[in-house]
Amino acid sequence: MQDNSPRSFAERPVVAPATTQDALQAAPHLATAPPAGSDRRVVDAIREIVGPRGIVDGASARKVYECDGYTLEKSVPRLVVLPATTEETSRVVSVLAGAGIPFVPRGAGTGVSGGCLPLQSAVMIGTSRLRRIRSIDVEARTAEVEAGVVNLEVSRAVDAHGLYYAPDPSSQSACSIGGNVAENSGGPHTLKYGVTVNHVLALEVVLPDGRVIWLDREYDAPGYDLVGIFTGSEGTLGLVTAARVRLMRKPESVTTLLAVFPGVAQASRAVSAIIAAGIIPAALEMMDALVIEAVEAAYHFGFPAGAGAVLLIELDGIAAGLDALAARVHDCCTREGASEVKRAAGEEERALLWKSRKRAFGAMGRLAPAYCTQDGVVPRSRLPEIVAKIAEVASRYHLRIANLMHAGDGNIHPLVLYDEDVPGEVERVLAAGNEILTACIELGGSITGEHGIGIEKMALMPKSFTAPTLAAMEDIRTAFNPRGLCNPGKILPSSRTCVEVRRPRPRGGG
Amino acid sequence: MGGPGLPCVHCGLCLDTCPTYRVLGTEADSPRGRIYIMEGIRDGELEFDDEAALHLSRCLGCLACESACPSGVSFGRRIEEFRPRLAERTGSTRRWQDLARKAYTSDALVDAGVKVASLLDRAGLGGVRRKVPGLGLLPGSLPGSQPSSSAGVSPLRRSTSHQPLRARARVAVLTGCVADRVLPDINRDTVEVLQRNGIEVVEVAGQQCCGALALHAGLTSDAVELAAANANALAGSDIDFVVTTAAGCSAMLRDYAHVLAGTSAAGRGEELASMSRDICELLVEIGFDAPARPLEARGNVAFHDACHLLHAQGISSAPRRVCEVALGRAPVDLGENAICCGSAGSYNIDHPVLSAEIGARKAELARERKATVVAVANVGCMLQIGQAVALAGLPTLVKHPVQLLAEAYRRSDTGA
Ligand SMILES: Cc1cc2nc3c(=O)[nH]c(=O)nc-3n(C[C@H](O)[C@H](O)[C@H](O)COP(=O)(O)OP(=O)(O)OC[C@H]3O[C@@H](n4cnc5c(N)ncnc54)[C@H](O)[C@@H]3O)c2cc1C
Ligand code: SF4
Ligand code: SF4
Repeated sequence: MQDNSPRSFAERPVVAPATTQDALQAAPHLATAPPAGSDRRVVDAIREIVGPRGIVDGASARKVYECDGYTLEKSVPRLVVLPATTEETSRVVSVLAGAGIPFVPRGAGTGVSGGCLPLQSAVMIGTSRLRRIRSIDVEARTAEVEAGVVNLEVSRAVDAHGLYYAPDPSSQSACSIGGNVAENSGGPHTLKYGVTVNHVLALEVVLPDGRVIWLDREYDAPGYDLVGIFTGSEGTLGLVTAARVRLMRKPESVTTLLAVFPGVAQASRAVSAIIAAGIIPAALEMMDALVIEAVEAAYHFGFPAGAGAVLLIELDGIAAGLDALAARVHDCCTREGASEVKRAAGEEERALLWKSRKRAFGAMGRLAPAYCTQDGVVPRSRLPEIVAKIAEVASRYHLRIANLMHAGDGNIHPLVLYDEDVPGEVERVLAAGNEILTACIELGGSITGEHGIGIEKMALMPKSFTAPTLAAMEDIRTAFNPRGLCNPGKILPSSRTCVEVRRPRPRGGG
Repeated sequence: MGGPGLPCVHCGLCLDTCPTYRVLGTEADSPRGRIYIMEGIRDGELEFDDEAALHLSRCLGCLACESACPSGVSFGRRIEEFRPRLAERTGSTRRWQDLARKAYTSDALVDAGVKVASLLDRAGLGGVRRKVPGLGLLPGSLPGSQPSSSAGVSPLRRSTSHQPLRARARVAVLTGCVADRVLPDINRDTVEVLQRNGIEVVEVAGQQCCGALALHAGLTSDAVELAAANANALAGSDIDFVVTTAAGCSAMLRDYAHVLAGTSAAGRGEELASMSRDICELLVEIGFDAPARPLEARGNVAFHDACHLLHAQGISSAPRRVCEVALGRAPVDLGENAICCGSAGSYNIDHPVLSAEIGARKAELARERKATVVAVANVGCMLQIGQAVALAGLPTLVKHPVQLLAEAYRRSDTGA
């Protein structure tokens, strides 16, 4: 063990001055660079641990890891390691720590803030082979799953017992539980059921020095809530290898309403009206005209043409009383100007509605070659204001911005459409995003609801937090990650040193 | 990001539907990764070297990624553009090209394979044989089917007993190059089922292999030639539909307008594409009789989707419906139905280990479901899953839905 005594961030070097590290720092980290000769010993040691299937070192195989769902910044990892067990993970991290080489965890790479972008020549450790569901306890309603297990697979595995895993990010068919923990992910049903942190009972973690620990909060354990601290830490405190999660009983009855409004303003007012009426829907989602256009092209649900905005409202609970509740929601919507409110006829229609919503992000590809997803939060009552602001920003920057919102919790997702080929467009996208998020802060909200800070929003952190608060955050990180080896250069702005980010390549024809 | 069709927005939603990604866990073996590699090569950022070729060639072409993609990315078209270049590169692909060419030009080779396979099986060497690329897949003692003892005799000619007097429709059955020789009972049962339902089955001279094998092996000009021959022979004849029992063939026929675009057979290709039907699809479309005495299966009949029906043609309910009618109850799903079994043409030869690993998962699911029968409406999948359950030591039978229906009809005849 070397150098794990907590020191203030500013005092310690970002990386330990080891000889191997010096050599590695000098190595080029461009797409086509093979692992440098000095890597050989480290690579061999790692290969020994994970076997040939656990190591990715070829040029094209590494290049595909240069970005996640956030494609504005790119950097090719020098090496990608895919351990298959906790033990392998721990041994790999020990080797890297011993050589002073930083590493970055990656799940499915569906993140949209560049969280797993490898900086400072970091080695990437992927969890895609940590895919076992270790145990399911039906009576206690818990499951222990490895970090690489796909979110939806947890629900599938316990479906026969009438149970499910509640946090349902729209990416749930692909994203990993480890990524969910790292981002404290939410989803449409967050409004009633909470985010990931409300459903994680314990975490198995490989610390940045390779030690394996369990963090447990199951029985109101005394001491600090370390599960709480780890959840949402974006892979900067250690690598999660497994989680024990809470399972929920499926509600007895569910009904989904679709309310059509002339515009986003009326729909936002209806959201407030529903909550003010004391109703807590399981989900309360908004899509604007542009999003409707994209999902209609993809899924042909038959949203009314010319709709300015729709609300998707899901109510669940015991069957008795659900009809009355639906009637009250219906009233709230019509009073605020809904032109039409209808209930999904059956399970099939309900499923299609949700498919349209959950895949809305991806469906944007039908409207533009690329888009940048923004993620901000405002107090629910200020939704109309932020919506007006977004429209104003869009027209000023000559950009098309579609709006998708977890309206129930004031979590907005402006999707800024762009084309990398248009000179100057990427810059305008970034500037417009900044303005929107700054407006969120000014309205009393925050710069991320669920997608995290990653690399994308670091510059906005000082606008969101005071210097002492940021310093406290840094102290937490230093406690777990004293040498800064784990996911360097993320979240906290002061750590953005030796960034070697590549701008997106200009696109060829086609 | 560019390429034919709509852009890939790099969302990753396709990842977990990709069988190779699920087994290997490497992004380069996922749809998003493969698209990235193809774009990298096109933009000159990556070399088209052995490594890139390996990741691309590991694609099964199952198109599950297209079903999963919310952005409507045409993965199939993109990889198709690369197939000829891929074929040039990899030696194993070249070997496969030769094999593929022989498969659709000479019946003798396939027949010989079937014969060797059944000889080995009879000699008690089935276990060894199942591990040999190419030979491993052949049915031999595939549970639930007879080894072909009728090599060289078209099954169509052997079954005319049920030909209806006044037909509701006239159809030609595309007998297929490999399928017909390997599992001839399926085409025989198909003809019987059609005839029993008042549909006239005719033979059209000059029909060829559909060309899918050639296209997949990167032999584009062979594929076009075969497609043109079929289009000219079939679209011009006096029939209503061309029926196939192999999903890859019906998907290929459906794509003839694209395959033949710009050739003199383009118009006929389009016509033939519109006449093409999978057997289950056709039965459901024009209606078919329920057997008086449905099959009684002990245990579960587990249904699996064939990729070239589900993903390439969006057909999912028709084969289930045929099973349901044959059984008198709905089959259960095998599970992970949208995930390819790992069969995919040359795959067993090019990537034997990976193919077997992907297939093994299907045997695991069959065990979990306690399946006595796995029903799947495509010969390639039947062979692959048959091999997997045999290697896993399961007694599970593998059947085409139309076989189940034919058996139910026969059972009703005998009253037994
Ligand atoms: C179409 C689409 C829809 C989305 N919808 C939602 C939504 O509704 N709600 C929502 O919250 N998010 C959403 N997201 C964002 C994203 O899917 C989530 O943040 C998800 O949790 C990321 O999981 P992942 O496995 O892909 O992680 P990755 O993208 O691979 O990584 C994300 C971050 O987590 C870290 N990390 C990953 N695995 C581990 C681990 N085992 N241990 C420690 N750190 C780790 C990485 O270093 C990185 O910082 C969406 C994204 C897309 C593309
Ligand atoms: S076609 Fe199938 S194997 Fe190929 S990338 Fe798509 S999902 Fe994967
Ligand atoms: S789902 Fe479609 S858009 Fe998303 S990464 Fe896959 S191919 Fe690209």
